[in-house]
Amino acid sequence: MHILRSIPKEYYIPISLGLLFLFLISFPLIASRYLIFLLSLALIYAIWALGYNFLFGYTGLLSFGHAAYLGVGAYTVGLLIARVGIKSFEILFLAAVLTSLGISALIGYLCVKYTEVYFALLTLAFGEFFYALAFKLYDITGGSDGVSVPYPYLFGYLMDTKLLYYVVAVLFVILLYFAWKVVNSPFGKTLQAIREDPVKAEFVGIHVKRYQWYSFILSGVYSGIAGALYAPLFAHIYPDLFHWTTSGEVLFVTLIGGHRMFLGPVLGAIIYAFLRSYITAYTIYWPFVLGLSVAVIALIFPNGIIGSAYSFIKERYFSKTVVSK
Amino acid sequence: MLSTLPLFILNGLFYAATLFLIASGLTIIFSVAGILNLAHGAIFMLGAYLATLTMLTGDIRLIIITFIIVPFIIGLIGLGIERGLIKWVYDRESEYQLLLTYGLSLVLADLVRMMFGPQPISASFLLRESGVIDILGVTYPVYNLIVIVVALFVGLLLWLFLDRTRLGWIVRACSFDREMSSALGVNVGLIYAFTFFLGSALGGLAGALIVPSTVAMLGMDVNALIESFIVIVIGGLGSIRGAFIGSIIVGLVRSFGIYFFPRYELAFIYIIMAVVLLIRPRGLFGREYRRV
Repeated sequence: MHILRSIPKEYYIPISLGLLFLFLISFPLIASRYLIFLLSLALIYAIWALGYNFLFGYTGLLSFGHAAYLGVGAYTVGLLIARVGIKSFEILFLAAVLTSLGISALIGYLCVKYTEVYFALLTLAFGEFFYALAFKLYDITGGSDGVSVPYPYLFGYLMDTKLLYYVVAVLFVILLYFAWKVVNSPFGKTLQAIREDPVKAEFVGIHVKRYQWYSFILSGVYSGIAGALYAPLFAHIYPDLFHWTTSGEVLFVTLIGGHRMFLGPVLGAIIYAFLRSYITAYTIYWPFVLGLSVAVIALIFPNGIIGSAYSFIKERYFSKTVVSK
Repeated sequence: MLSTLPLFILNGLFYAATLFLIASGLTIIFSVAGILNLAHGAIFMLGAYLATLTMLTGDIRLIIITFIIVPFIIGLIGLGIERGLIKWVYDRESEYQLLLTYGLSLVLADLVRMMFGPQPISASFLLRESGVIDILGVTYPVYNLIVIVVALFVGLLLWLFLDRTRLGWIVRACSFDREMSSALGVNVGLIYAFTFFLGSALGGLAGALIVPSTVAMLGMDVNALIESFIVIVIGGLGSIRGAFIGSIIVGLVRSFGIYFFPRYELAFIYIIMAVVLLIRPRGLFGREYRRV
């Protein structure tokens, strides 16, 4: 503890990010290919859930359609590779960011006009719209089979599972840092003020709808980036990416970690990726498990599993009111 | 074109009939209990699958009874869900209510998959047996006409119930002001439970009615939920009249869309929804939404 105290507080974040980065970069040296794949998946979900949590955890808006932006990112990359023949990941990535930005701005504009149940159902409806679109425009999207996606190239290097892992890791660290900056900025505090009380926020002069819109777009772009990485990881895009059970997965990831904690979605994503690979090996009824977990969390653990455990431990062992003998 | 016009209209009304039943169940539960039941689509699907059990036997008396038994069973399931789970979240933030019903929806849908398997089940016995009829210059299945009439009849009963009976008044009173109703001696919890029974039964009836002319398949739950939601958005959340008009609009647009622009049929419905939302945010017949 003494060494920790001698480090100035403002270095905590860079140091922990640096350590995280070192761990992530050295991970492939010790891990099998499958573990690398799983961790890539976990980090992609972490990016997605971090973005989702801007909206859910920090702004207090519950969306049931965030698979749409993941899907938009994935389909942008997948279709540009497979149908247009663009192989350079830099361009593909930029394209995914732009399309997810545009589409989340458009849909977000309609959705943030409404709150609570209306908002939730509108996001759900628009999400399903993309799902149907992926089926109906079969000559472009390949219908229910989807399209298989060849490896793209990053600065001329073939982006196989390993290089993709590094790209995911680097992007994850950058986006994690950016998310931390955002939630602690005046902008992030504004979002939290809106979450706590939209009416009061409006009274102190915050343009609530506009900030909710910004938050929607931000989470849409994070989802789009996650999608851009998802397509090459699975080398395949398919309509189920847009389905509402996929939206449920990001919800599950965020909830299991705890949407009131900054790192909750990241923890949730790691748990999710490993849990899912384990559960799907034993049962095909994954949606059942997913739905049951969401229902149980909603009923019993309103702060998420990790979040509830964290606050329990904090209250039990680190509470300042406990007087030591 | 002109000669097939009645066909489109009839098809549209047929869609509208089932949509109206599903949407009115959803809207009654929402307006009284304040819960937007995302599991309502799964309830509808469960009704359809349960109905296939008797429809496949081909016993006409059994099939007729199905239309009473299935809504009753589904209503009881809705009642059980309300008493067992939803009861506990009335006072919580709406996010948790939505999360709970969303979770339930996935669980119910997967239970259906466990019990009935992933293959669509076709049980068109009733459609075949009832034959076709020449109406307005087109040949049309009698069964689909019966469904339209049944939906109209149920809508009429629903209106009579809510508008002319004492229990209906109490239900509406609860939807307007929960605390005041409670202060006047209404057992609000019982009314909520009854509402879930009624709403789910309507969903179950829609499921049973749709089976003979289409199929029971996985995924019909989400479609039904989204379409009935669009109906409600157009008509206004919490309004039976809105659900009626909204389902006719959506049904007709869908039926014409499928014929003329099969690939963009869905887009039309969404465009109508977006336009209604932009011009009349509370829907055509919606009243100001407030937490009761």
